[in-house]
Order: sequence, then C-alpha cells, then structure tokens
Amino acid sequence: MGDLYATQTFRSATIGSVATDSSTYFPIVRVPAFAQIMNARFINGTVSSATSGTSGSTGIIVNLYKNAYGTASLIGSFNGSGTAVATLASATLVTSSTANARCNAGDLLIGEVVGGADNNGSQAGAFIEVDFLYGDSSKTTPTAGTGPA
Amino acid sequence: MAQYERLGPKVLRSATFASVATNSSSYMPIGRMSQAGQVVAAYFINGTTSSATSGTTTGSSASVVLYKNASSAGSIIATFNGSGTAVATLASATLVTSGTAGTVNGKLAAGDLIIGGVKGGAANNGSQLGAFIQVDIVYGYVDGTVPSAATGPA
Repeated sequence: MGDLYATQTFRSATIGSVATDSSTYFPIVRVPAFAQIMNARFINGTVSSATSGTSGSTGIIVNLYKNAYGTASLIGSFNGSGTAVATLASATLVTSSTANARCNAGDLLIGEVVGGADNNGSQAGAFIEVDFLYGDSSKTTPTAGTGPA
Repeated sequence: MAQYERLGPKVLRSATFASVATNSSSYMPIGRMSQAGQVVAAYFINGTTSSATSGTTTGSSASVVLYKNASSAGSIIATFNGSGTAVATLASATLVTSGTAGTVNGKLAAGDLIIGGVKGGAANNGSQLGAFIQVDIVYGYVDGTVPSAATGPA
C-alpha cells in the first residue's frame, strides 16, 4: 500500500535563459482531479549556475502559480539571490500559500522565472518540477466523538 | 497499478510546439499506452503568446486534433476548433470528443499511440508557440453491452 501515498510528478518544458529585468511564464499542467501540491523544485540544467550565487541583490526568482500569475495566486517560490544552484542540482520552492496549493480539477499550474537586475546566471535547460497528491486535507479537524448517550 | 492512478487520471502531455503556418499542419506523438485505458479529457494549453487561435476569425483558424495510431479522419478521438474562439495567454481549451467514433477511438489498448495534430487553417493568424496538448487517461475501460436485468431464482 506504499504507493497509495506516491505523488504524481509533472515537469515544465525546459526554459531558455532569462534576460535581466525580464520574466518568462509557461504553463505546466492542468490538474485532472482534486489534488494538493506537495513539493515543487527548480532543477538546473547543464549550465554552471542557474542563479546568481555571488549576488546579494536580485538574481532570479522562481515562482509557481495557480491559474494566473500574481501575488494572490502564488503557490511557492524560490529566490536565487545569494544561493547558487549548481549544474544538475535543484532548489526547493518554499510554499507561500497552503490554500493556493490545493487545486481543483481544471486548475492550471503556471511557472515563472524572473530575471532580476543582478541576474548573471544562465537558466538554459532548467525546468520546474511539481509533485502532487490527489485529494486534499482542506477540511477542518473533526471534533472528538462523544460516543452514545 | 499505483493506487493514486485509481483515484485520479494519468496525465500525458505533448512536447511544446512551435507556431504552425497557414495552410499547414504539425503532428506530434504524445504517448504510447502501457496498458488499456480510456481518454477522459484532453486540452489544448496555450503558452505565452497573446492568443493561440484566431478569436476574431470566423473562417478556418487553428484546430487541434487528437488521434489514435494514425492521423486520419477515422482515427480522431477529439477536436477543438479555434475559429472564433480565442485561447488567451496561459489559458486552455477543451477538446470535444468526436461523437460516437471518438468515444470508440478514446478506448485504448496497450501499445496504442496517441498523436496530436495542430492544423493552421487558411485564416490562422495566431501563434501556437509554447503550447501543448494534455491528455487525461484512466486505466481500464468498459466496452461490453449493458448487463440484462437479473431474473432471480426460479
């Protein structure tokens, strides 16, 4: 029964390098059934570094959205400023909104890579990977049973 | 079979494709079935171009077709005709099952190849760059006759 808990994994298409002060958006998948995002990662391709590890300012930011790109739709993000993501390595997107991570059938997951002012890495060949489980736990915690009167 | 695949569909996606020229077609393999299954949904998902179809055109814009094993009329599972229907940036459109034939073709045996097609019609003025086709499949299918009513013991 271990695979009862296995996640379904989707990857975006690989992306090209993002210019400084620019963004790229791309659809990842339309969720087929009620599901919850469990993990999301930015996975680097074969360039030496996809993010600006030596920059203390704005390198790149990787975002995962539900249905539309905007703060209210953010599921998770990773800020690459000061954090190098080496060749064939990955970085975890940190959940921004647990509520947004709960998806209905038909919700569209959208990825974004933002090239900040100090973006000096290359994102060519990188992609975003999303793990989700069907079903979710959005209901309130059941109250304790009181048993028969 | 993994348990989660009993609870929700298996999802296959095509590679992203480039823009299709007017009066031209692009075909792409999406997946070969590992076991019997049934197509329960299919979508055309737009990338970042402003519109993948010609919403203002009433003539032949781009159409999206899903096939089983061969790109021919007899193999169509489902279609979406973008003429007069804009599919905006980061949005999607549902492919509609092509009648009874589509329902039959939507039942897949192990080894069947799912093929996507995008046809740029005479009035295609959209861009399909970065778009892809998504297919949702549930393993197993029902193709027998409806059971007759039980008569109970004599």
